[in-house]
Parts: sequence; C-alpha cells; structure tokens
Amino acid sequence: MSAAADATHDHPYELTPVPTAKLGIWWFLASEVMTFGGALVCFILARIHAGGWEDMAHHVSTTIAAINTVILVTSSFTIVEAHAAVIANNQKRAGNYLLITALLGCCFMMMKAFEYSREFSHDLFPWTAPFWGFYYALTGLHGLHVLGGIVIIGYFGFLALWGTNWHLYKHRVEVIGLYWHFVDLVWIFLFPLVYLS
Amino acid sequence: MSDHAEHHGPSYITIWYILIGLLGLGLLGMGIGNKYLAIGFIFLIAIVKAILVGRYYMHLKTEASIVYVIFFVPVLLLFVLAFLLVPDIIYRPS
Repeated sequence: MSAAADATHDHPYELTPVPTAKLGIWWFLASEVMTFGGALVCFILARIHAGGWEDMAHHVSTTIAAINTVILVTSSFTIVEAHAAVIANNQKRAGNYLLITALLGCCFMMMKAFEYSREFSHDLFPWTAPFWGFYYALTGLHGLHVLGGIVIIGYFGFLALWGTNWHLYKHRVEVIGLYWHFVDLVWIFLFPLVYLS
Repeated sequence: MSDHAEHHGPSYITIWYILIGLLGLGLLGMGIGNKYLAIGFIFLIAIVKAILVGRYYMHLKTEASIVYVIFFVPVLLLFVLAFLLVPDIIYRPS
C-alpha cells in the first residue's frame, strides 16, 4: 500500500500523506511568501530605480541587526529542539525549549524597539524618505509576525509545563515551529537587503 | 516530518554553528571592494542559510512532494512577477 493510502487508512479525513494541520500551515506560509516577497521585490526595484539609497542605508545599525540575527537563529534551534523533545515524549524539555524560544523572541523585539528609538532620535521616521518608509514597513511587518509567534509559542510552552491534556496539543509544536522557521527565513533575506547592501 | 520519522544528517546544533559562521562570513563580505561582488557574495550566503534552515530545521529534506508544490510555486510566481516589473523600472525616466 502506498504512503498516501496508508495515511488515509490511518486518518480517514486526510487525503494526503501530510497531516491536515501541517498542510494548512504550508498553505499559510505559501501566502506569506507572496506577502513578504511582494514587499521585498518592491523594495529592491524601488532601490535600483532610485540609485541605491546608500547615503540613507548607512544610518541603520548593522551591529543591532547582527545581534538580532544571532537571537533569531538561536530561537530556530531551540524550537526545533522543542519538536525533537515532543517526538521523544519529553514534555518538560519541550516546554522549556518553547519558553526559551518565546524569551528569545522577546529579546529580538526589545532590540528592535531599541533600534527604532535610535532611528527616531535621529529624526528618521517612515515619512522622512522612501528608504525609511520601506525600512519601517518591512521590519515592522516582520516584527508583527515575531510578536504573533511569541504569543503562540509562549502559550504552548505554558501548556507543556503547567497545562493539562498536553497529548492533545503536542502535535501542534511542529506546526508553530514551521511558522517560526519561516519568520527566521524572512529575516535571513531582510538582513542583507536592508542592513548589509 | 512525521512524529515517527528520525532526524538524519548533521545535528541541530551543528547547523546552528554553521548558520552563525555564515553570518560572520556575510559580515566579512561587506569588506569586499567591488560593490556588486560584495552584494552577490552576501546574497549567496543568505541563500545557503535559507537552504540550511529549510532542509534541516523545517525538515524539507524528508517532506512529501506536495509540500514542495505548495511552497515553491508561489516562490516561482514571485520571481516571474518581479521579472515582469524589471522593464518598467529600467525604462522609467528618473
């Protein structure tokens, strides 16, 4: 029997070898590709047309962004470890890793708040110039996704450590992990686009 | 990856070390004298990092083909749409 047939036999409501929840998050991430991708392409084309915006781009803090990259990459590691703990049926370890991930997300947002306050103190607002409009729109949209991830991951971390019926929720760790890795992927491209080039 | 699947290949911490190393390499790339070469190098590093995250952290390495179809068709579409806009940018008077 094929893998797909096996899956439909075990779970009659699933028509593919991929569980429905995971299929759903991949559809969501596909739509996010168009959201972030469209914004990034607009930024690249507008920047090429304007001739580079180098004079404005050198005001952004590469150091803060590099620290944030380390934080986000580390949080990707911790959430994949949470998923590994779920597979190993280690509820406490999964909960700890989920809460560490949420904490790292909070660190990212604090660094981002510090970065924004630094730009504001130099009178660099979204309406100052097109570069700054793109800068705040792209990093702000990404920040909102990080914020959403922190809430969900923190909630599941609390469920794993202090909640009841964890067995009903533990499979969702993989799904929220995929979302979090996607947020990391977006940052991997935002970082060189906005801060390095 | 299903709950029953095992993790093969480099450990997650090894991937983390590589990602941090690549971040350092990308920062060093800013020092390349030629602007276009530097940008090319920095984005090459970003693509390698994205492949590592996708392949090992998102487990695309062991994922069913339907996931590739769902995720990579919009990526392809994005490149097509971006390419269609390029003439508008190139031939537009500044």
